[in-house]
Amino acid sequence: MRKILAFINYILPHLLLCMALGLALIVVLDGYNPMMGFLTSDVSKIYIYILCALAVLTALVYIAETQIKSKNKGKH
Amino acid sequence: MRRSVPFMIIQDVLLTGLILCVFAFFHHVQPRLSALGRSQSSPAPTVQTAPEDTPEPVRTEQPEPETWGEKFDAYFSDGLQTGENFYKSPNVSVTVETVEQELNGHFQRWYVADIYVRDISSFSAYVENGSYESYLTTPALELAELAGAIVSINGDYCNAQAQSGFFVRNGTAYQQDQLPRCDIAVLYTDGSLETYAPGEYTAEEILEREPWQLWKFGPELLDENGQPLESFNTSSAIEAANPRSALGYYEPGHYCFVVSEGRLSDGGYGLTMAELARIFSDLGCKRAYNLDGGDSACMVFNGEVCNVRSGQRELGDILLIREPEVQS
Repeated sequence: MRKILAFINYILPHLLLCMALGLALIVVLDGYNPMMGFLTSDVSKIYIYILCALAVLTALVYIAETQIKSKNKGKH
Repeated sequence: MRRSVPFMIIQDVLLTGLILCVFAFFHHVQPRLSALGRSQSSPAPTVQTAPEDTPEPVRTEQPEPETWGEKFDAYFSDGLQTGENFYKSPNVSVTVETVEQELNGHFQRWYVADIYVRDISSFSAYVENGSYESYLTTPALELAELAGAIVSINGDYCNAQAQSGFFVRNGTAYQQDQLPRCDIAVLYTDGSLETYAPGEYTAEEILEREPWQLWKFGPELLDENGQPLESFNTSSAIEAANPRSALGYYEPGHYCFVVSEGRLSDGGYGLTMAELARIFSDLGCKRAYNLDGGDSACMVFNGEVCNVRSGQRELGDILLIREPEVQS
């Protein structure tokens, strides 16, 4: 369990970073060819929802981790 | 879980690539596969029959013969006459001219199809399998043959942007509840063609005038006086020199198609949007409208592809001139 949590903790920010880079690329492509609907299609909307969910999740994990760390520091 | 920095960079690059591949699959490949599946399960369309449309259409009235046919009588012939660059029949006249010119320091080549039709049903649109919501693409020449085109150019690729709103094909209206964000061009059954920017129209107003075709790509190229616009409703990347495909309107029954070469080292640099607008203004058009360009730009005349670069990309749809449904 601890290993799985550590893996999630590790992979979340990377996944967020990669999806953000992907979105940046999609925005650039949309600038070149807006008619392809890179930002307006249903698939793009799902992509953006996933990105938002990942951002929220990563932020929550980060906040929780910081809280735990500061608590532990307080104990010592 | 500690990893070295180079490992993490490689891992993130690969992960980004994987994510983009998944996105491309669902955005591009999967809709095409499902369209192929649908087309294989349904009978193949024949050349002569009009395609059936799968979405829930609102049928506008069939076009009626207009008086412009008599006005342009001199351009039509009693029997069929065809040559290398012309086609004349009792109902249609098409002349294709190749223009080569130096524009802004670049060698340019473009093709102008000057078109007279007796009946608006000669000005048609075609998509394989008859479904504008399936993502099928076909080589331009094949589409032109299937549609029975005398001359055709690529359309607005509307099946690739099917979700982006209101359009009309051959008198059938789709998705009226959602207006496109781009400029549109409407060919009415009375033979007139108008271009509109977003906010200048409502679907009801357009449907009231009985649209025959409505394209959504743009931008519009001329103002209401037929003068080239100075700014266009599109991104600067789109305005840059490229192969172009566009549609011009003189008066009811008289139209032109323009397709330019581009991205060629020796046979055509490509036209900017401003240069394209200037060409239509010089031709004397009252309205002009840009269609999908780049590798999609393609003109087919009398069963032959005109421009060198065409065939680089399969097309979703074409607009075309053919003999009318009811021969005079």
